[in-house]
Amino acid sequence: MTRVRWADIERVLDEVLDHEPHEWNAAIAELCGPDAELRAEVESLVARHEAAQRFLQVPAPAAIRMWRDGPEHDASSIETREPLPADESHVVDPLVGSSVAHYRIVARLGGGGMGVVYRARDTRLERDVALKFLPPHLVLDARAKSRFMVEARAAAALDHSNICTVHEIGETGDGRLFIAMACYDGQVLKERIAEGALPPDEAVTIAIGIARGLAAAHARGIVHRDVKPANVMLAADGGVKLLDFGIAKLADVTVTQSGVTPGTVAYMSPEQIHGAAADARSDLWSLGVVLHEMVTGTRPFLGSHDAAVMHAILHDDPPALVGESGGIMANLSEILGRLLARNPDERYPSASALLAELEPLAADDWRGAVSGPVRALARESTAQALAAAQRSRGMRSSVRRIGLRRWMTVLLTSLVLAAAGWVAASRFATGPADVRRVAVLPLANLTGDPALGYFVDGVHYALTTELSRIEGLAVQSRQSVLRYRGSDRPLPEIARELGVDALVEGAVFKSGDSVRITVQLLRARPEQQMLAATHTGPLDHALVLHNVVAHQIADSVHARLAPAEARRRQGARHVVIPAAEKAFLAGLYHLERSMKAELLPGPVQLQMLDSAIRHFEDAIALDPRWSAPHARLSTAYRVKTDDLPEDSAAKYYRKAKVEAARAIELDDADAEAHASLAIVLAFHEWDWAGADREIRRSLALDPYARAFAAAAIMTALGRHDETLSLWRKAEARYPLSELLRLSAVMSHGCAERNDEAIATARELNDRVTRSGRTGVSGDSAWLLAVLAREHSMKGEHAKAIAAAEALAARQPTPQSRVMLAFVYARAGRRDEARAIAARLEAEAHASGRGSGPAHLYAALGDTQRAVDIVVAAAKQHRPSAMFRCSIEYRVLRNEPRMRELVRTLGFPSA
Amino acid sequence: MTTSADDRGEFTRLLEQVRDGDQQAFDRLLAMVYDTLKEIARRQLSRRRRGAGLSTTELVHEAYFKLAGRGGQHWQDRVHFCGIAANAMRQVLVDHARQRNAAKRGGGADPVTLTAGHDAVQPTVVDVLALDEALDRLAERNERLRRVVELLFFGGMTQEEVAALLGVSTRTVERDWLKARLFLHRELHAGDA
Repeated sequence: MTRVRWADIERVLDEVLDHEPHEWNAAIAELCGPDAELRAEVESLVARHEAAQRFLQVPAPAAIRMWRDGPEHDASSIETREPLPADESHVVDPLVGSSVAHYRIVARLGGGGMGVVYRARDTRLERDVALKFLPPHLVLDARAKSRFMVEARAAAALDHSNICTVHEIGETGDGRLFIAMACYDGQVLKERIAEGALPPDEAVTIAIGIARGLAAAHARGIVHRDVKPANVMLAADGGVKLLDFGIAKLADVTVTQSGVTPGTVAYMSPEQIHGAAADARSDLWSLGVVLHEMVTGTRPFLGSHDAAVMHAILHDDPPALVGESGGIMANLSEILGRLLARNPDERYPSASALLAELEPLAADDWRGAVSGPVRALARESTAQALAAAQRSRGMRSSVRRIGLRRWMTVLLTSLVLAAAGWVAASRFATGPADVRRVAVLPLANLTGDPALGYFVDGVHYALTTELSRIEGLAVQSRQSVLRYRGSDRPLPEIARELGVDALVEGAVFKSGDSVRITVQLLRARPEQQMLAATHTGPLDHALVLHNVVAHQIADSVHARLAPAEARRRQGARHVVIPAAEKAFLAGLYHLERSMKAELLPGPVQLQMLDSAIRHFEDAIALDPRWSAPHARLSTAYRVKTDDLPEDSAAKYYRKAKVEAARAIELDDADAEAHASLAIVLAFHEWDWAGADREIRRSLALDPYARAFAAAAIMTALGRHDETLSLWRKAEARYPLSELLRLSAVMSHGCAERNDEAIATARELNDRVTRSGRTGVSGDSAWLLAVLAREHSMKGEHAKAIAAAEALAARQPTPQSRVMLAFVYARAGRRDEARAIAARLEAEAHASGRGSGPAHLYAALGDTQRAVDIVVAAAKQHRPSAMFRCSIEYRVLRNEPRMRELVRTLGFPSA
Repeated sequence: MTTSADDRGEFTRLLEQVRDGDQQAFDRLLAMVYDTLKEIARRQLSRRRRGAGLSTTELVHEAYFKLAGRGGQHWQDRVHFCGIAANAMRQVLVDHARQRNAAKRGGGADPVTLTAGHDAVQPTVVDVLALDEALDRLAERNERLRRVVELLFFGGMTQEEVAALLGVSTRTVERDWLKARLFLHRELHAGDA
């Protein structure tokens, strides 16, 4: 197969694939002509079309499927080849293999701003050592060099289990300084953190090791000056070793000259940045930065370049740290508050003073270490909460199921933490913040366990819900952020697209039997991490954990962002049974994946939808008094009506109504339930007053999340100005809300604002095309439909015909052909219109939906027949969603029987 | 001591050079990414039990975090990184499959297979080595089609990102992806047309 031949095949393929599948055979025959070989090739490829759609499907993540003979091989087969150290795989180092003094250099271990490190063999004592060569530019200054030697030798004399043993400080023949030190098997803390945040107890243990090493050094008057994760060795035996004492001093001298200390700026204390003398308390600041990074996975002071980082250290408050785990995070938060005090006098006076607070946290029973005021607060809240809980009937069933004791622990923990989180957060809070609009991005599931996807989604769901309760804070709807699931796009860009000031993003990790959730609140401009929270809990409590986490983060965000007078709306806090919650989240997971994404073409995924319904039904069976599954089940039933003929659709509308009403009965503050009920009342029952009441209630509870449903109902009610104002308000907040734009197009059309309808439709089409998501360039089919209709209504028949012809050519569906006939008829080309109508009638019973081409008959002058069709359809309560926006209504509305019908149907007079 | 190299700076520098079209930098970066991916893959595999999945996207994210750090400055390089990681990912999986076959030579090894997502109605299972060979045959015909498959399937990138990286329209990527899959499906499932 030559390249040229393949190019021919591709050319034919491209042309063929532009056609509809049923036209392929004809197209191939025409394009290949007598070339039988070409034809066979193309046919064999096209034959794969259906299978290929499912093949290597993205966004499905590729996964290794394990083989039958067990897990042992999984690891061993990959591990047979040891990875080369990253540096060695592509750097040939001339020093490797050579000898320096009595050391034979075996391998290069790594290199950084402070020199290159080699593994070497001490030939005199027959032991392995790590040999560090200082970069030559650091020792050009003879005085600096001698000062370094003095200090480094003093440091070398330190003998402590948390300080790396220095064997020797020497100088090579050509004047390069090297340090020979003990060689440990293990990992540098920096690498450990790169894998993600550490569990708090592990972070505490490491911090204690560092603090002990520092205490020993400080006692001898030696300051480290460069405490950072790259200088902390986690030995394989569990020991923590502090590396590179005194070397920083050498660097200090040259910092001002070269201006470069790569990677270390982030850990510098404010006084170091000011160039003041660094004492023991400066090391404690740096330890604080390291501790923060360990527990959150992120440094407290961020910036895109060194100067920005320094500015952040000097001016920004560190992000608040909140968490549960029964108090350890609360305590760490307090400790960090003192370590990261900008004024050294406000820090711990010594590493020993720090140890006095840190060491009790490492004890097994760290719950007992909750500090005084926090504990008092928690006790009070607990009493209140218990009183409230006893009033809840849901509580009793939950207690029966999972045991009172365990429940109490969970509840207590959550309350302690809520209180502690509040305290911690308010301490860091800095006046009114400039964040009013946030979006919660879907959390990354880094557990490696797809089965935890529901849980990860659940955290996202709960977070969005909880944050929405903060008045004065606009939270992007879940629907609008789902498209960023797994997105690698830059966060500031996402923030801009969503029109928010800040983003909440995070990830869920798993280690052993516990899950860890890390969440951060990032302000987009200027970029700043405002809050970092980590929560750890046992895997089997995961389902309880996510609500706890959400409450806490909402508390902290509230304290951090909202003005003091802002209140948090209280929803009815139904205590949920974990199994029911699991089923609910599974339902939500399937429901969201079943719905059409924005304007993307494609049918509802019925299988997904049916799974969603089953899961919601399970959730209800397990916990019948919880409103949320009823509300979502109602939504799922409504979605189901989309693809059903009227008689079955009616059944699902009725079911949707029952579920929505039940949800409202259980929790009147369920915005989803009110919106769903409103839609059923409007489009199935034609109860406009009821729909109006319900949608207003829903909007009051959650102003923007269901704006589309609201817009649809108001449009149907003929309240076009209200719809447009709603649209503009929502647009100002959420510029990407395409569904709302679509409803604006309809509203303009209903209001006979043809030009505005066309302009809005065109703008929306351009936006969607530009985003590339539909894969269609140029005018989309629905835009052509809008153009045909609106131009025709305006009397611009040539333009209308051009659009309708393009539409019919693109999609020869009955609807498109009706549109074409309609614009022909209105343009006076009745014969052509009649010809199409005749063919459509012959096929008519196939389509069977909607009110038929009533407007076509009207345009052809057969008004009575047109009205008959509309009246008959209306009597069957066919859910013609936008009846008064429908082209039938617009054409026929002045007919007396039509006016009568509108009155009968109970439409409020517009 | 282990490799405590400050490769973050190295990584960023290489990435910049790759963006400027430096082939040598590309090779070095590839080696770096390859090692990192392999290490993460190995760690994840050793934690897993059979039947569990290994998500490309997560691997690539984790590798990125490991190499570029979690600081704020890395965002704009992501697309480029994913382009490189896609290539490395293919190599990691293929090497893994080859080693496994070598270890089991004569023992009738089952092929190492990939499966698409867990919620797929009908998971498609692919033999990694067969796919690798088919990709080479595809590259002989049209190099860009191979690249599109690598980026989308192995790199876990979106069509928009691939379009941005290759400098073509999303529509082209979509069409390339379809053509490539028609070809690969024919190559890999010769029997069941």
